[in-house]
Amino acid sequence: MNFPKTLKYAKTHEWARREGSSVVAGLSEYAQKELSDVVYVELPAIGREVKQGQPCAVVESVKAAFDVYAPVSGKIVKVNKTLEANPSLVNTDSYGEGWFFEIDPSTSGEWDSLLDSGTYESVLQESAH
Amino acid sequence: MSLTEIKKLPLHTEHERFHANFMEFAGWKVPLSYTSIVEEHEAVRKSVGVFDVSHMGKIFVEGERATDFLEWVFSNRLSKISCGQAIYGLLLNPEGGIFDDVIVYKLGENRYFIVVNAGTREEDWNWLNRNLDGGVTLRDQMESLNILAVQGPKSPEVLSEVFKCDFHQWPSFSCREIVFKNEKILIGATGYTGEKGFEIFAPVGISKELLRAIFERGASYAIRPVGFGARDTLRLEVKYLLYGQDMDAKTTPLEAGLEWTCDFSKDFLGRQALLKQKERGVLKKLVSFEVPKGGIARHGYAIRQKDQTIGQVTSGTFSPSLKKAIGLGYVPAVFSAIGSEFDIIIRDKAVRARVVKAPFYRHTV
Repeated sequence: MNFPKTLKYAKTHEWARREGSSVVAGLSEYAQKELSDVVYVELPAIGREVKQGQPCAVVESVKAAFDVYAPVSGKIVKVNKTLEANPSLVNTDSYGEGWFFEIDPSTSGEWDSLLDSGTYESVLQESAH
Repeated sequence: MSLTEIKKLPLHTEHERFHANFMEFAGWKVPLSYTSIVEEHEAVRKSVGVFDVSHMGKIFVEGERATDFLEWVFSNRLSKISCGQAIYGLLLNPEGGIFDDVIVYKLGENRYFIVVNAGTREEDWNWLNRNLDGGVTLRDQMESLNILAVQGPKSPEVLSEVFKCDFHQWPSFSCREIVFKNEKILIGATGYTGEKGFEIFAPVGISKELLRAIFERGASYAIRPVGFGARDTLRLEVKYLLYGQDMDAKTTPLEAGLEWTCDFSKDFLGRQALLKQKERGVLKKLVSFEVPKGGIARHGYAIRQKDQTIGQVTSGTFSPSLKKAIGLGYVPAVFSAIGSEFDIIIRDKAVRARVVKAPFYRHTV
Protein backbone atom coordinates (compact mmCIF):
# COMPACT_ATOMS: atom_id res chain seq x y z
CA MET A 1 0.00 0.00 0.00
CA ASN A 2 1.08 3.52 -0.68
CA PHE A 3 1.56 6.02 2.19
CA PRO A 4 3.29 9.09 0.78
CA LYS A 5 6.16 10.31 2.95
CA THR A 6 5.13 13.92 2.35
CA LEU A 7 1.94 13.39 4.37
CA LYS A 8 1.22 12.93 8.08
CA TYR A 9 -1.31 10.42 9.39
CA ALA A 10 -3.70 9.93 12.28
CA LYS A 11 -4.25 6.55 13.97
CA THR A 12 -7.87 6.84 12.80
CA HIS A 13 -6.58 6.62 9.18
CA GLU A 14 -6.83 10.22 8.00
CA TRP A 15 -3.92 11.81 6.15
CA ALA A 16 -3.01 15.48 6.57
CA ARG A 17 -1.02 17.86 4.40
CA ARG A 18 0.09 21.42 5.08
CA GLU A 19 -0.94 23.93 2.47
CA GLY A 20 0.25 27.41 3.41
CA SER A 21 -1.12 27.93 6.88
CA SER A 22 -3.94 25.39 6.56
CA VAL A 23 -4.15 21.62 6.78
CA VAL A 24 -5.85 19.53 4.10
CA ALA A 25 -7.19 16.11 5.11
CA GLY A 26 -8.49 12.92 3.55
CA LEU A 27 -8.54 9.17 4.10
CA SER A 28 -5.50 6.93 3.80
CA GLU A 29 -5.24 4.19 1.24
CA TYR A 30 -5.66 1.65 4.03
CA ALA A 31 -9.00 3.24 5.08
CA GLN A 32 -10.12 3.51 1.49
CA LYS A 33 -9.42 -0.17 0.87
CA GLU A 34 -11.10 -1.25 4.09
CA LEU A 35 -14.22 0.75 3.20
CA SER A 36 -14.29 -0.21 -0.48
CA ASP A 37 -17.09 1.17 -2.67
CA VAL A 38 -17.60 4.61 -1.09
CA VAL A 39 -21.10 5.70 -2.09
CA TYR A 40 -21.89 8.68 0.13
CA VAL A 41 -19.96 11.45 1.84
CA GLU A 42 -21.22 14.00 4.36
CA LEU A 43 -18.96 17.03 4.74
CA PRO A 44 -18.76 19.53 7.60
CA ALA A 45 -20.15 23.04 7.21
CA ILE A 46 -17.65 25.73 6.31
CA GLY A 47 -16.83 27.77 9.38
CA ARG A 48 -17.42 24.89 11.79
CA GLU A 49 -14.95 24.61 14.66
CA VAL A 50 -13.55 21.09 14.91
CA LYS A 51 -11.39 19.41 17.53
CA GLN A 52 -8.52 17.03 16.90
CA GLY A 53 -9.73 13.43 17.09
CA GLN A 54 -13.42 14.36 16.95
CA PRO A 55 -15.69 13.16 14.14
CA CYS A 56 -16.40 15.88 11.59
CA ALA A 57 -17.40 14.07 8.39
CA VAL A 58 -19.09 10.81 7.46
CA VAL A 59 -18.25 8.36 4.75
CA GLU A 60 -20.57 5.52 3.76
CA SER A 61 -19.65 2.46 1.80
CA VAL A 62 -22.14 -0.12 0.60
CA LYS A 63 -21.68 -2.07 3.80
CA ALA A 64 -21.63 0.62 6.55
CA ALA A 65 -21.17 4.23 7.67
CA PHE A 66 -17.93 5.50 9.25
CA ASP A 67 -16.79 8.73 10.88
CA VAL A 68 -13.93 10.80 9.58
CA TYR A 69 -11.96 12.54 12.35
CA ALA A 70 -10.31 15.94 12.34
CA PRO A 71 -6.52 15.45 12.32
CA VAL A 72 -6.02 18.86 13.97
CA SER A 73 -8.26 21.37 15.75
CA GLY A 74 -9.38 24.51 14.00
CA LYS A 75 -11.95 25.97 11.68
CA ILE A 76 -13.17 24.33 8.48
CA VAL A 77 -12.30 26.71 5.64
CA LYS A 78 -12.90 24.54 2.56
CA VAL A 79 -14.65 21.29 1.74
CA ASN A 80 -14.40 19.11 -1.36
CA LYS A 81 -17.92 19.51 -2.77
CA THR A 82 -17.00 17.26 -5.71
CA LEU A 83 -17.16 14.28 -3.34
CA GLU A 84 -20.88 14.73 -2.84
CA ALA A 85 -21.55 14.07 -6.51
CA ASN A 86 -18.65 11.69 -7.00
CA PRO A 87 -17.91 9.85 -3.74
CA SER A 88 -15.92 7.12 -5.49
CA LEU A 89 -13.01 9.58 -5.75
CA VAL A 90 -12.24 8.50 -2.18
CA ASN A 91 -11.42 5.08 -3.63
CA THR A 92 -9.82 6.07 -6.89
CA ASP A 93 -7.69 9.03 -5.76
CA SER A 94 -7.59 9.07 -1.97
CA TYR A 95 -4.54 11.37 -1.70
CA GLY A 96 -5.58 13.73 -4.50
CA GLU A 97 -9.09 14.47 -5.77
CA GLY A 98 -10.46 12.44 -2.87
CA TRP A 99 -9.52 15.04 -0.19
CA PHE A 100 -12.29 15.88 2.32
CA PHE A 101 -11.72 19.26 3.96
CA GLU A 102 -9.25 22.00 4.80
CA ILE A 103 -8.76 23.25 8.34
CA ASP A 104 -7.33 26.53 9.54
CA PRO A 105 -5.56 25.20 12.65
CA SER A 106 -6.18 26.90 15.99
CA THR A 107 -2.91 25.66 17.54
CA SER A 108 0.42 24.68 16.07
CA GLY A 109 1.44 21.86 18.42
CA GLU A 110 -1.04 19.26 17.11
CA TRP A 111 0.67 18.86 13.76
CA ASP A 112 3.68 17.29 15.47
CA SER A 113 1.50 14.75 17.24
CA LEU A 114 0.51 13.24 13.88
CA LEU A 115 2.38 10.17 12.63
CA ASP A 116 4.87 10.08 9.79
CA SER A 117 4.29 7.45 7.11
CA GLY A 118 6.71 4.92 8.64
CA THR A 119 5.15 5.11 12.09
CA TYR A 120 1.64 4.91 10.61
CA GLU A 121 2.60 1.78 8.68
CA SER A 122 3.97 0.12 11.81
CA VAL A 123 0.75 1.00 13.66
CA LEU A 124 -1.17 -0.75 10.89
CA GLN A 125 1.08 -3.79 11.11
CA GLU A 126 0.64 -4.00 14.88
CA SER A 127 -3.13 -3.83 14.65
CA ALA A 128 -3.10 -6.59 12.02
CA HIS A 129 -1.71 -9.02 14.64
CA MET B 1 -18.08 -27.80 20.97
CA SER B 2 -19.49 -24.60 22.37
CA LEU B 3 -22.50 -22.87 20.91
CA THR B 4 -20.55 -19.73 20.16
CA GLU B 5 -17.88 -21.46 18.10
CA ILE B 6 -17.67 -19.99 14.62
CA LYS B 7 -17.89 -22.66 11.98
CA LYS B 8 -15.91 -22.59 8.76
CA LEU B 9 -17.36 -23.57 5.41
CA PRO B 10 -16.00 -26.80 3.88
CA LEU B 11 -14.45 -24.71 1.08
CA HIS B 12 -12.95 -22.14 3.46
CA THR B 13 -9.41 -22.54 2.12
CA GLU B 14 -10.67 -21.99 -1.44
CA HIS B 15 -12.14 -18.65 -0.30
CA GLU B 16 -8.81 -17.79 1.27
CA ARG B 17 -7.15 -18.54 -2.04
CA PHE B 18 -9.55 -16.02 -3.59
CA HIS B 19 -8.44 -13.49 -0.93
CA ALA B 20 -11.86 -13.21 0.69
CA ASN B 21 -12.58 -10.79 3.51
CA PHE B 22 -14.66 -12.77 5.95
CA MET B 23 -17.60 -11.89 8.17
CA GLU B 24 -19.73 -13.77 10.64
CA PHE B 25 -23.21 -14.81 9.63
CA ALA B 26 -25.51 -17.05 11.69
CA GLY B 27 -22.54 -18.66 13.42
CA TRP B 28 -20.52 -19.18 10.24
CA LYS B 29 -17.41 -17.52 8.93
CA VAL B 30 -18.45 -16.60 5.41
CA PRO B 31 -16.94 -14.44 2.66
CA LEU B 32 -18.08 -10.80 2.87
CA SER B 33 -16.40 -9.84 -0.39
CA TYR B 34 -13.37 -10.70 -2.44
CA THR B 35 -12.64 -7.47 -4.30
CA SER B 36 -15.51 -5.01 -4.00
CA ILE B 37 -19.20 -5.46 -3.26
CA VAL B 38 -20.15 -3.27 -6.23
CA GLU B 39 -17.94 -5.18 -8.67
CA GLU B 40 -19.28 -8.53 -7.47
CA HIS B 41 -22.84 -7.22 -7.65
CA GLU B 42 -22.34 -6.09 -11.23
CA ALA B 43 -20.75 -9.39 -12.22
CA VAL B 44 -23.97 -11.18 -11.23
CA ARG B 45 -26.25 -8.62 -12.93
CA LYS B 46 -24.23 -8.60 -16.17
CA SER B 47 -22.47 -11.95 -16.46
CA VAL B 48 -22.04 -14.61 -13.77
CA GLY B 49 -20.88 -15.05 -10.19
CA VAL B 50 -20.55 -17.88 -7.68
CA PHE B 51 -21.69 -17.86 -4.05
CA ASP B 52 -20.89 -20.47 -1.44
CA VAL B 53 -24.06 -20.76 0.62
CA SER B 54 -23.25 -24.06 2.27
CA HIS B 55 -24.15 -22.55 5.66
CA MET B 56 -27.82 -23.11 4.84
CA GLY B 57 -29.69 -26.08 6.27
CA LYS B 58 -30.58 -29.07 4.09
CA ILE B 59 -33.23 -31.55 5.08
CA PHE B 60 -34.67 -34.50 3.20
CA VAL B 61 -38.31 -35.38 3.86
CA GLU B 62 -39.31 -38.83 2.67
CA GLY B 63 -41.90 -41.53 3.29
CA GLU B 64 -45.40 -42.50 2.29
CA ARG B 65 -46.93 -39.57 4.19
CA ALA B 66 -44.29 -36.97 3.26
CA THR B 67 -46.66 -34.94 1.06
CA ASP B 68 -49.41 -34.85 3.69
CA PHE B 69 -46.91 -33.84 6.34
CA LEU B 70 -45.46 -30.99 4.29
CA GLU B 71 -48.89 -29.75 3.21
CA TRP B 72 -49.62 -29.27 6.92
CA VAL B 73 -46.38 -27.51 7.99
CA PHE B 74 -45.68 -25.57 4.76
CA SER B 75 -47.81 -22.60 3.69
CA ASN B 76 -47.71 -23.05 -0.08
CA ARG B 77 -49.50 -25.80 -1.96
CA LEU B 78 -47.27 -28.68 -2.95
CA SER B 79 -49.79 -30.13 -5.35
CA LYS B 80 -49.10 -27.05 -7.51
CA ILE B 81 -45.77 -28.60 -8.45
CA SER B 82 -44.68 -31.84 -10.06
CA CYS B 83 -41.55 -33.90 -9.59
CA GLY B 84 -38.60 -31.85 -10.82
CA GLN B 85 -40.01 -28.57 -9.57
CA ALA B 86 -39.41 -26.40 -6.53
CA ILE B 87 -41.60 -23.98 -4.61
CA TYR B 88 -41.01 -21.14 -2.15
CA GLY B 89 -43.08 -20.89 1.01
CA LEU B 90 -43.15 -20.53 4.76
CA LEU B 91 -43.17 -22.55 7.94
CA LEU B 92 -45.65 -20.84 10.25
CA ASN B 93 -46.37 -21.17 13.94
CA PRO B 94 -49.98 -21.64 15.13
CA GLU B 95 -50.29 -17.84 15.58
CA GLY B 96 -49.42 -17.34 11.93
CA GLY B 97 -45.94 -15.99 12.73
CA ILE B 98 -43.17 -16.83 10.28
CA PHE B 99 -40.97 -19.59 11.66
CA ASP B 100 -38.81 -19.71 8.54
CA ASP B 101 -38.91 -19.20 4.79
CA VAL B 102 -37.80 -22.19 2.77
CA ILE B 103 -37.62 -23.70 -0.69
CA VAL B 104 -39.02 -27.19 -1.13
CA TYR B 105 -37.68 -29.27 -4.05
CA LYS B 106 -39.85 -32.15 -5.18
CA LEU B 107 -37.52 -34.98 -6.15
CA GLY B 108 -40.08 -37.74 -6.49
CA GLU B 109 -43.45 -38.88 -5.19
CA ASN B 110 -43.18 -38.39 -1.42
CA ARG B 111 -39.53 -37.41 -1.73
CA TYR B 112 -38.64 -33.81 -0.93
CA PHE B 113 -35.58 -31.72 -0.17
CA ILE B 114 -35.90 -28.54 1.89
CA VAL B 115 -33.38 -25.73 2.14
CA VAL B 116 -33.79 -23.70 5.32
CA ASN B 117 -32.05 -20.68 6.83
CA ALA B 118 -28.84 -21.21 8.80
CA GLY B 119 -30.01 -19.22 11.80
CA THR B 120 -33.21 -21.23 12.20
CA ARG B 121 -31.92 -24.64 11.14
CA GLU B 122 -31.90 -26.23 14.58
CA GLU B 123 -35.28 -24.82 15.54
CA ASP B 124 -36.72 -25.93 12.20
CA TRP B 125 -35.33 -29.41 12.73
CA ASN B 126 -36.87 -29.67 16.21
CA TRP B 127 -40.10 -28.10 15.03
CA LEU B 128 -40.47 -30.49 12.10
CA ASN B 129 -39.74 -33.45 14.37
CA ARG B 130 -42.31 -32.28 16.93
CA ASN B 131 -44.98 -32.13 14.24
CA LEU B 132 -44.08 -35.50 12.85
CA ASP B 133 -46.27 -38.53 13.01
CA GLY B 134 -45.85 -41.88 11.25
CA GLY B 135 -44.87 -42.47 7.65
CA VAL B 136 -42.32 -39.68 7.34
CA THR B 137 -38.54 -39.73 7.73
CA LEU B 138 -36.44 -36.60 8.15
CA ARG B 139 -32.76 -36.61 7.24
CA ASP B 140 -30.46 -33.73 8.10
CA GLN B 141 -27.77 -33.37 5.41
CA MET B 142 -26.06 -30.33 6.90
CA GLU B 143 -22.57 -31.80 7.02
CA SER B 144 -22.62 -33.84 3.84
CA LEU B 145 -23.86 -31.36 1.22
CA ASN B 146 -22.32 -28.18 -0.09
CA ILE B 147 -24.28 -25.44 -1.88
CA LEU B 148 -22.81 -23.38 -4.69
CA ALA B 149 -25.09 -20.78 -6.23
CA VAL B 150 -24.10 -19.89 -9.79
CA GLN B 151 -26.05 -16.77 -10.66
CA GLY B 152 -26.29 -14.34 -13.55
CA PRO B 153 -27.33 -14.19 -17.22
CA LYS B 154 -24.32 -16.27 -18.26
CA SER B 155 -24.91 -19.02 -15.69
CA PRO B 156 -26.62 -21.39 -18.20
CA GLU B 157 -23.57 -21.14 -20.51
CA VAL B 158 -21.15 -21.96 -17.73
CA LEU B 159 -23.12 -24.89 -16.34
CA SER B 160 -23.84 -26.30 -19.78
CA GLU B 161 -20.08 -26.55 -20.28
CA VAL B 162 -19.36 -27.92 -16.81
CA PHE B 163 -22.01 -30.65 -16.92
CA LYS B 164 -22.10 -31.23 -20.70
CA CYS B 165 -25.84 -30.79 -20.95
CA ASP B 166 -28.08 -27.87 -21.87
CA PHE B 167 -29.08 -25.52 -19.06
CA HIS B 168 -30.64 -22.82 -21.26
CA GLN B 169 -34.10 -24.34 -21.30
CA TRP B 170 -34.45 -24.91 -17.56
CA PRO B 171 -37.54 -23.10 -16.35
CA SER B 172 -37.21 -21.04 -13.20
CA PHE B 173 -37.85 -23.22 -10.10
CA SER B 174 -37.21 -26.49 -11.89
CA CYS B 175 -34.79 -29.01 -10.41
CA ARG B 176 -33.01 -32.13 -11.51
CA GLU B 177 -30.62 -34.73 -10.15
CA ILE B 178 -27.57 -35.35 -12.30
CA VAL B 179 -24.35 -37.32 -11.96
CA PHE B 180 -20.99 -35.56 -11.71
CA LYS B 181 -17.74 -37.43 -10.98
CA ASN B 182 -19.81 -40.53 -10.17
CA GLU B 183 -21.75 -38.68 -7.48
CA LYS B 184 -25.39 -37.71 -7.55
CA ILE B 185 -25.93 -33.97 -7.25
CA LEU B 186 -29.09 -31.91 -7.19
CA ILE B 187 -29.41 -28.70 -9.18
CA GLY B 188 -32.25 -26.24 -8.82
CA ALA B 189 -32.98 -23.22 -11.02
CA THR B 190 -33.34 -21.14 -7.88
CA GLY B 191 -31.44 -18.31 -6.24
CA TYR B 192 -31.48 -15.14 -4.21
CA THR B 193 -30.42 -12.55 -6.77
CA GLY B 194 -33.31 -11.95 -9.18
CA GLU B 195 -31.18 -13.19 -12.06
CA LYS B 196 -31.27 -16.40 -13.99
CA GLY B 197 -29.30 -18.82 -11.87
CA PHE B 198 -28.80 -22.20 -10.31
CA GLU B 199 -28.10 -23.68 -6.92
CA ILE B 200 -26.01 -26.83 -6.88
CA PHE B 201 -26.27 -29.24 -3.96
CA ALA B 202 -23.24 -31.52 -4.15
CA PRO B 203 -21.51 -33.91 -1.74
CA VAL B 204 -18.78 -32.07 0.18
CA GLY B 205 -16.22 -34.59 -1.12
CA ILE B 206 -16.46 -33.36 -4.70
CA SER B 207 -17.26 -29.72 -4.05
CA LYS B 208 -13.72 -28.44 -4.48
CA GLU B 209 -13.44 -30.19 -7.81
CA LEU B 210 -16.82 -28.79 -8.82
CA LEU B 211 -15.88 -25.26 -7.79
CA ARG B 212 -12.68 -25.43 -9.81
CA ALA B 213 -14.50 -26.81 -12.85
CA ILE B 214 -17.00 -23.92 -12.64
CA PHE B 215 -14.22 -21.34 -12.49
CA GLU B 216 -12.31 -22.99 -15.31
CA ARG B 217 -15.38 -23.02 -17.58
CA GLY B 218 -16.49 -19.61 -16.38
CA ALA B 219 -13.20 -17.87 -17.10
CA SER B 220 -14.30 -16.75 -20.56
CA TYR B 221 -17.36 -15.09 -18.96
CA ALA B 222 -15.20 -13.32 -16.35
CA ILE B 223 -16.84 -15.40 -13.65
CA ARG B 224 -15.99 -14.31 -10.11
CA PRO B 225 -16.61 -15.34 -6.53
CA VAL B 226 -19.30 -13.23 -4.85
CA GLY B 227 -19.58 -12.62 -1.13
CA PHE B 228 -22.39 -11.98 1.31
CA GLY B 229 -22.08 -8.22 0.84
CA ALA B 230 -23.27 -8.43 -2.77
CA ARG B 231 -25.69 -11.21 -1.86
CA ASP B 232 -27.46 -8.68 0.34
CA THR B 233 -27.54 -5.85 -2.24
CA LEU B 234 -28.69 -8.23 -5.00
CA ARG B 235 -31.53 -9.74 -2.97
CA LEU B 236 -32.68 -6.37 -1.63
CA GLU B 237 -32.91 -4.82 -5.11
CA VAL B 238 -35.44 -7.48 -6.05
CA LYS B 239 -37.13 -7.40 -2.61
CA TYR B 240 -36.32 -10.92 -1.51
CA LEU B 241 -36.78 -10.81 2.24
CA LEU B 242 -34.09 -11.83 4.71
CA TYR B 243 -35.29 -14.02 7.55
CA GLY B 244 -34.54 -12.61 11.00
CA GLN B 245 -34.43 -9.10 9.60
CA ASP B 246 -37.40 -8.46 7.31
CA MET B 247 -39.53 -11.14 8.94
CA ASP B 248 -39.51 -13.30 12.04
CA ALA B 249 -41.82 -15.29 14.31
CA LYS B 250 -43.55 -12.07 15.36
CA THR B 251 -44.56 -11.10 11.83
CA THR B 252 -47.14 -12.77 9.66
CA PRO B 253 -47.10 -13.29 5.90
CA LEU B 254 -49.92 -10.77 5.58
CA GLU B 255 -47.75 -8.10 7.19
CA ALA B 256 -44.62 -9.11 5.28
CA GLY B 257 -46.32 -9.04 1.88
CA LEU B 258 -46.00 -12.81 1.53
CA GLU B 259 -49.67 -13.72 1.32
CA TRP B 260 -48.97 -15.12 -2.16
CA THR B 261 -47.00 -17.93 -0.51
CA CYS B 262 -50.03 -19.05 1.51
CA ASP B 263 -52.59 -21.27 -0.17
CA PHE B 264 -55.79 -20.78 1.81
CA SER B 265 -57.57 -23.46 -0.20
CA LYS B 266 -55.76 -26.13 1.85
CA ASP B 267 -55.36 -26.53 5.59
CA PHE B 268 -51.97 -25.62 7.04
CA LEU B 269 -50.47 -24.71 10.35
CA GLY B 270 -51.18 -21.04 11.08
CA ARG B 271 -54.02 -20.78 8.56
CA GLN B 272 -56.75 -20.11 11.15
CA ALA B 273 -54.78 -17.27 12.73
CA LEU B 274 -54.10 -15.75 9.31
CA LEU B 275 -57.75 -15.91 8.30
CA LYS B 276 -58.64 -14.05 11.49
CA GLN B 277 -55.99 -11.44 10.80
CA LYS B 278 -57.24 -11.07 7.23
CA GLU B 279 -60.69 -10.33 8.55
CA ARG B 280 -59.46 -7.79 11.11
CA GLY B 281 -56.93 -6.24 8.74
CA VAL B 282 -53.22 -5.85 9.39
CA LEU B 283 -51.86 -3.04 11.55
CA LYS B 284 -48.32 -2.92 10.15
CA LYS B 285 -46.97 -3.57 6.70
CA LEU B 286 -43.59 -4.05 5.15
CA VAL B 287 -42.92 -1.23 2.68
CA SER B 288 -40.22 -0.64 0.10
CA PHE B 289 -38.76 2.84 0.19
CA GLU B 290 -36.08 4.92 -1.40
CA VAL B 291 -34.10 7.74 0.15
CA PRO B 292 -33.47 10.33 -2.57
CA LYS B 293 -30.76 12.19 -0.61
CA GLY B 294 -29.17 12.49 2.80
CA GLY B 295 -27.45 9.16 3.31
CA ILE B 296 -28.23 5.49 3.48
CA ALA B 297 -30.96 4.11 5.73
CA ARG B 298 -29.72 0.95 7.43
CA HIS B 299 -31.10 -1.90 9.50
CA GLY B 300 -32.48 -0.66 12.82
CA TYR B 301 -32.87 3.03 11.94
CA ALA B 302 -36.08 4.63 13.20
CA ILE B 303 -38.90 5.64 10.87
CA ARG B 304 -40.78 8.75 11.96
CA GLN B 305 -43.86 10.68 10.96
CA LYS B 306 -43.80 14.19 12.43
CA ASP B 307 -42.26 13.57 15.86
CA GLN B 308 -43.54 10.07 16.30
CA THR B 309 -41.62 6.90 15.75
CA ILE B 310 -43.86 4.76 13.56
CA GLY B 311 -41.52 1.97 12.57
CA GLN B 312 -38.07 0.69 11.86
CA VAL B 313 -35.88 -0.03 8.86
CA THR B 314 -35.36 -3.79 8.55
CA SER B 315 -32.98 -3.73 5.58
CA GLY B 316 -31.31 -0.83 3.87
CA THR B 317 -28.42 -0.33 1.53
CA PHE B 318 -27.10 1.55 -1.44
CA SER B 319 -28.37 -0.06 -4.61
CA PRO B 320 -25.43 -0.55 -6.98
CA SER B 321 -27.77 -1.03 -9.96
CA LEU B 322 -29.95 2.02 -9.31
CA LYS B 323 -27.27 4.16 -7.66
CA LYS B 324 -29.49 5.22 -4.80
CA ALA B 325 -30.37 4.32 -1.24
CA ILE B 326 -33.16 1.76 -0.91
CA GLY B 327 -34.66 -0.21 1.93
CA LEU B 328 -37.49 -2.06 3.61
CA GLY B 329 -39.26 -1.38 6.88
CA TYR B 330 -42.46 -1.89 8.80
CA VAL B 331 -44.86 1.02 9.19
CA PRO B 332 -48.53 1.29 10.21
CA ALA B 333 -50.72 0.22 7.29
CA VAL B 334 -52.04 3.79 6.86
CA PHE B 335 -48.58 4.95 5.79
CA SER B 336 -47.90 2.05 3.43
CA ALA B 337 -49.39 3.33 0.16
CA ILE B 338 -47.05 3.87 -2.80
CA GLY B 339 -46.00 7.52 -2.75
CA SER B 340 -46.37 7.95 1.02
CA GLU B 341 -43.51 9.80 2.64
CA PHE B 342 -41.93 9.59 6.06
CA ASP B 343 -38.66 10.45 7.78
CA ILE B 344 -35.84 8.09 8.55
CA ILE B 345 -33.44 9.11 11.26
CA ILE B 346 -29.91 8.95 9.87
CA ARG B 347 -27.24 10.13 12.34
CA ASP B 348 -29.79 12.15 14.35
CA LYS B 349 -31.11 13.87 11.24
CA ALA B 350 -34.55 13.36 9.74
CA VAL B 351 -34.14 12.37 6.10
CA ARG B 352 -37.11 12.06 3.76
CA ALA B 353 -37.99 8.64 2.33
CA ARG B 354 -40.72 7.67 -0.13
CA VAL B 355 -42.64 4.43 -0.48
CA VAL B 356 -42.07 2.96 -3.93
CA LYS B 357 -43.19 -0.04 -5.88
CA ALA B 358 -41.08 -3.17 -5.54
CA PRO B 359 -39.01 -4.82 -6.83
CA PHE B 360 -36.68 -1.86 -7.03
CA TYR B 361 -34.83 -3.54 -9.85
CA ARG B 362 -36.04 -5.92 -12.52
CA HIS B 363 -33.84 -7.74 -14.96
CA THR B 364 -34.41 -6.63 -18.53
CA VAL B 365 -33.13 -8.65 -21.42
